[in-house]
Amino acid sequence: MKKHQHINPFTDLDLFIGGLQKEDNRNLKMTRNFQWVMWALVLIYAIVFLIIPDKEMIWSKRLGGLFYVLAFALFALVFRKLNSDYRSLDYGVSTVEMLKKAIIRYRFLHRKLSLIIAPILLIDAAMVLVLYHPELEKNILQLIIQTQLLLFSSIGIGLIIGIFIWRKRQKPLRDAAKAMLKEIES
Amino acid sequence: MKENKEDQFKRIIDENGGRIMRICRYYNSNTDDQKDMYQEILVNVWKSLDRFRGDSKISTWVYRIAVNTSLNFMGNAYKNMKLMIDKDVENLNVLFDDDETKLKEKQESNLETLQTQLNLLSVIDKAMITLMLEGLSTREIADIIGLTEPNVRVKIHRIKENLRSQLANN
Repeated sequence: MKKHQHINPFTDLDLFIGGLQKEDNRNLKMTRNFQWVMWALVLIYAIVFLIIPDKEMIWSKRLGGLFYVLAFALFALVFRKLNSDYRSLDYGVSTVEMLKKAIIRYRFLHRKLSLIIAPILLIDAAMVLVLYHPELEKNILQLIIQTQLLLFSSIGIGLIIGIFIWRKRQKPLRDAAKAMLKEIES
Repeated sequence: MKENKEDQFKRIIDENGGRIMRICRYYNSNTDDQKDMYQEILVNVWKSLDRFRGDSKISTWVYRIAVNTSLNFMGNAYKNMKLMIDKDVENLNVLFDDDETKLKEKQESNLETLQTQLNLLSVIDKAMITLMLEGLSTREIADIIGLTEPNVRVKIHRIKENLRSQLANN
């Protein structure tokens, strides 16, 4: 079923426009909600680890808390940047320009994805620091290895799912755009 | 008083609804599919409206959205995109040169052959055919597709030559 099918633009354009405005507002709300969640996490972690920490909290946990705060703040900013770029789809450009933009947009690896490397590294460091305890000093290497395994296996699973989704949905669109552009330019 | 987005959208659809519907009919024989594509185009007009700077005619801008949407509508099945024409299509004679009166006279009887030959064209050639059937000039077609005018003229000439020889053989 296609979206908007319950509202017929032929019989009621006003209702159709209302549906479009509703969808615009819903998308905007979702974006804002995600950002609010990130900023809420920034505040909570800042309060727990930095502003009103437990008196017995050791330095490594506080430093880990700071890294969490920075990571969530960066996630919020990166998401806002990536989302605004993705939403800027313009069908009013020439067909050649639209196809070129589609080829770039549906790439698997975007240069802009490098923006999430910094927050991931901060989360990585934060996990080690928060879990670290002086009594574990002898096993710090084991702690680091365990946190890396946990983090990178989670990232690995996410990557595999991402590749699968990309190959199923976006790669065919990218291939079609490349083929059409080749036809036009031949 | 500056027009708000809703009024601007309504005005655009009032003035260009017929054009959009014709584009949908060229690509879909089924009424439901035509309506689906029509809705999709309207959604994309709405989404793209904030970025329209008036650097082209509204009709040209709407044609761009209609063509781009129709190409995206098929997704990776774009090669299966069919072009539908019938004898009621205005400007059918633009597919033939002015001096080909005999071929024009045989348009109705050759419609099926013409339909078959048109569907052998590449997707972009089909898109150019629809714009020709809309009575657009080569300059406007070039503006919509994003090619130079000479390039479009060469492509159109090749399409016409091909159609002429195929119809003559039949």
